[in-house]
Amino acid sequence: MAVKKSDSKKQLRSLEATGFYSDFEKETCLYAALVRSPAPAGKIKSVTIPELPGGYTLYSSRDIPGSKTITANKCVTKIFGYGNVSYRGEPVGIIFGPDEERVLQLLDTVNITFDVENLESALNNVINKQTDDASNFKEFVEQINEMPSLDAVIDKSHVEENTDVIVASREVKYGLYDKLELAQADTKLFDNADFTSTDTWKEKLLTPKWQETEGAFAYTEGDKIHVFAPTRWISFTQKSVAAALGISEEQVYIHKTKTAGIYPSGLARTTQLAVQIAVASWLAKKPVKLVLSQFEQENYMVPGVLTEITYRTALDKDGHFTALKILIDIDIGCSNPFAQEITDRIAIAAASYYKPENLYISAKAHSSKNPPTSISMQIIESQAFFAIENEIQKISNQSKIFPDELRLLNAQSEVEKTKTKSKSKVKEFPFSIPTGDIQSVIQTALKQSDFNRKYASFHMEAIDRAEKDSKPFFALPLRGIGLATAYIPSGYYGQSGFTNDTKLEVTLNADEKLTIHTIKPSDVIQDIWKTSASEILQIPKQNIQINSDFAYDQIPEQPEDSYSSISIMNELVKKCCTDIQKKRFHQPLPITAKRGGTLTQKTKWDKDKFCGTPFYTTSFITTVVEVELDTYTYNEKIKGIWVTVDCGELFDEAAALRTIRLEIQQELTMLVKGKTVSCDAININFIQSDNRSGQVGGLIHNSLPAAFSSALSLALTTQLTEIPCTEDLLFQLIRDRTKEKNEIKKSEERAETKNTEETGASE
Amino acid sequence: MGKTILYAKNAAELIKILNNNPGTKVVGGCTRIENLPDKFISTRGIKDLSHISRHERYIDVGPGATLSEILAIGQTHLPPIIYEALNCIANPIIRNTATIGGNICSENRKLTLFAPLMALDAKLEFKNQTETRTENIRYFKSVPEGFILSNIRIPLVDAELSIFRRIGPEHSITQQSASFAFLADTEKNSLLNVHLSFAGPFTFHSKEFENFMSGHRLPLTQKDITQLEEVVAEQFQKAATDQMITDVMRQQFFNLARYSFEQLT
Amino acid sequence: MKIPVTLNGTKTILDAHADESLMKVLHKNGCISVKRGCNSGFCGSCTILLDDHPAASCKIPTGIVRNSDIVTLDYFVKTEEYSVIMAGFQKAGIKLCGYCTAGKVFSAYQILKSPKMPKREEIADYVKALSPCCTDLETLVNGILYSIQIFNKKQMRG
Repeated sequence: MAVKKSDSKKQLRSLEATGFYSDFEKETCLYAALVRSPAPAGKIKSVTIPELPGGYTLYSSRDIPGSKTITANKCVTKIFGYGNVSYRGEPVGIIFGPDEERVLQLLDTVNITFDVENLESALNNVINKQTDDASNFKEFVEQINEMPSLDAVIDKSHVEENTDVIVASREVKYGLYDKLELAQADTKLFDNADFTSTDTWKEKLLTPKWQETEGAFAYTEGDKIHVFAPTRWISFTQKSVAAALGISEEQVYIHKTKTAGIYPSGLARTTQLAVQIAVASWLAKKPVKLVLSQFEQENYMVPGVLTEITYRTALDKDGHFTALKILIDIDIGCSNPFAQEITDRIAIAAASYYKPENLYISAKAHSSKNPPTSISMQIIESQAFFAIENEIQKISNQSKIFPDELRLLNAQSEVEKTKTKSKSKVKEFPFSIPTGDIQSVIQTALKQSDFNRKYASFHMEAIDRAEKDSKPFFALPLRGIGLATAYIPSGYYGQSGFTNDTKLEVTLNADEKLTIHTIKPSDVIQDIWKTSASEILQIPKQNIQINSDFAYDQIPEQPEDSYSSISIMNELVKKCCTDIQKKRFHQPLPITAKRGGTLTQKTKWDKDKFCGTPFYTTSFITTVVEVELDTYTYNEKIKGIWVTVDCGELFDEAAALRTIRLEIQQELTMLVKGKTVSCDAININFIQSDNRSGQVGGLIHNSLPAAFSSALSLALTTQLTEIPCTEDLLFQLIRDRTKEKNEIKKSEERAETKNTEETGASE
Repeated sequence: MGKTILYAKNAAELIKILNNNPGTKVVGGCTRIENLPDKFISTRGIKDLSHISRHERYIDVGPGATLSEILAIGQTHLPPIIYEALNCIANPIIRNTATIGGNICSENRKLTLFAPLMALDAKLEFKNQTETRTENIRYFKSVPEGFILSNIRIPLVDAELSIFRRIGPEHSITQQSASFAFLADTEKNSLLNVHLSFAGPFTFHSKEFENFMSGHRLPLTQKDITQLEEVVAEQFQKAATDQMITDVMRQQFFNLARYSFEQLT
Repeated sequence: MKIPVTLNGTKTILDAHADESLMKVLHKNGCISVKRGCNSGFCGSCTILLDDHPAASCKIPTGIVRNSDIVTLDYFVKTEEYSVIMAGFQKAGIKLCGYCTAGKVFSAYQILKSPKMPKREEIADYVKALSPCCTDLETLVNGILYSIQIFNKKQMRG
């Protein structure tokens, strides 16, 4: 790319990730720890420390020279808490100094005093006053007695307004739900249905322990500040740091660092940490580093959001979903700048690609006293898929219709089925998910795994065992097999908060070297782009480079995830290269071509009515899992995983295989709490279809948990509704089922005895 | 911070240092010590406490021998339950520093090797400046005051039936962790030399039960198994209290006991 | 306290508390390849060679390594074994993220050193606990097998 004179004056910033922030050091570096609120609510009066040794500093909100908040998508987050506390653990200050251990010791001595608003903040004030446990016990008791009465502290006028607020919602109605009142529709659809099912599903996402915890490092250089953080939203971080310090963005250098986590976030929460460290470094004029502890990472930087998804399903005897009613409760913690997008995406995924005759979805995201949450594109829909796929498996068991049949029967709407016959006046189903050949994908996985035969056999075995035995374990291992399907979308048209205008600039230089100017994606995607460009322009791959240098005021405004859509970006690369190729022999070099995301596809999705084709493309997966449960130790083992994927055109099969295998390995560490489930064999197939090429990452996260829990549910003949599970839970399920069976047996025996007595009496 | 480490070149010096510095605790590779004692001394680097010598009927292992070094003896030269138990401890990297002494002498709960060593009737040797004592690991509670653990003698038992199972998470120690071991021999269709042991939040072995089981005619019938289950359950309940063991773990023990008996049907 | 060690081939005095984590001490002494991961000795991010055996430095109090030979990945990268291992990894298509490199490389090194040729299952067993951040198990095992092949060829030529 030709570097403009103006850019060099502005000094280019590289958006390429280099190193890990925790590795960066400078002489006289100071180490920081965050002071966190011990109470979930209350009004902070002061954050002080009785004694601070030389070289150690404590800052809180009042020390911030500029803006005391950061705002992302109209969601305001305090840099350091002040006024009313939002959640237990909210950072209210930062303490730093030359010795890390000493900083942690000093952290314990920080006093946070509250205006008494609730019992916890009142107690905290009392505890803070204690110096010597033994001698001041009497004083402690007196202080407890002097605390406001329970009536006062729980009096609503003293308590801040209810923080459980609905911040985002989405409602979808189709069929009778669109015409009748909810209760009326429910009565009509469920009262006389052949099969019904109701259940609530939860998938909790675990924080892997092995990744680098979040944090940041900053140092000043004259009137400039350098901040190192694993941010994926550099423009936002740059802006927020500048605003907090009250300086120009030109003085702020954000150095993006690598991240080795499964769920890269790097958005508002990472920015908050970066700003906190920047403030410390700017005021102290020294390098400062903050590395969150494992505890902080697990409790305050949780991946995804907490969801509870309740399904009410009605099925007719032919296997058609006559009704699907879905209630989604999303807890976004105290804030989440992407609440609406998360709500929308989960709402769409909750029905997956199925098209019931009548559909009702109510998704509500509410705030709470939990720490703030964020968004991670790869796992945004996984909880919804966990729920719907388990629900289908459950009703398949009930109705005795094979799981694959049930899925295929409901993959097409009535309108689509009868299209060729006559023009239907029935309204189009709200969501049209661009999946490829679902049937081939499902059938291939079933064939490879011998699913139907095993399913029938394990099913009978489980029922047989349940009827015969009353002990909470059995001689042979329990076996089960589960199936789940899912998709991962690319290019979501309904993005709220910022536009999805992905742009790309490609330049063929005078030396016949090609430069693609954009944020660098993963190595695999880079290779795909280079291959495409090399083929079109007939230049060697080593002559192609990706340039991620931008002037400070030219940095793309959107978070990186909107750039990593492989299918869209690859299309843009191809189009740019084609444009260049056309001009190449008619114009002198260098030639630059620019392209942005096309609008035509966007018109297929009606944002206001929330219907249409929401994605540019999807990749589709079917996962089959066969499990074995050791009845002696309650250890689960996976005998085999069979995966079939349709991701459209496959650019690099070896890389795609590695991605899937890696995700399987990652997921195996998150199915059962505290352990890795072992797996004997993994079988992966790709199906080439006419579908637009989509991404492969995320498919396993969306399907494996459901397939695993379905398999385990079959083995146990008890429904597992939550993942991750624990040994205790499995034992409890087995025991409860045995208790339940024994009680049924006893009541049947009692009834029989009563009948015999009555018959005897009458005779 | 501010803890004190002392160093010794050999066992004799170690004993002397312990005597001269009351309150000093002996540690191994420290892989399980989250909170080190205020004064500690490691067996790392003390050659005469890291020995491994093979004999015809037993192996002598020093407490400072790492788990990797013991595994390196080879599967064919170790009792199967010891080999299996060693292989399921943590991972190879931790096994390079974790010691057998550290595994046996863990204070709060008994770790993975304890049950198999109990089943094998391993002997522990303790030394002080003047005396050497031996004790069967089954009765071991803690290293006697003023002594150091100087040797672990592991009999090379070639049992016909040898079962080891780890209870709880695979490669880490939690409240749900325990280990189970069962050994049995047969001769002329009768059971001989039965050993059953459990170790975790507490240890369990019952000479009474083992004697009761030995001599049973083979193959065991369903009635025999039920009877054995009742006897072992009774013995186990005596040793366990509700505070010490969860329902899951209790059930897992009964399951594994039953599984062991079923192998003799 | 002052703890004499041989660090990356050089006799060094580490200034640390006896119970301070070796991982922290090494990182502060410029060995940035020693990274904090799970803090439980499983993920491998903090792996070093202690007396030529891979060890989890997060679980080692600095006091007990007195007079030991410590090699971190920062130094190991200059060795021939490292080139062999990376050549094998490259052949298998492994692109390490950089955070877990020490664990994977040193585990490969230990396997490379072992006198007998390990089977695929044995290698898988050896490395299965390492963090699955960037490389799946099968690919890692392939990488190690390729490394062994390359190493053996070099030995034969040498």
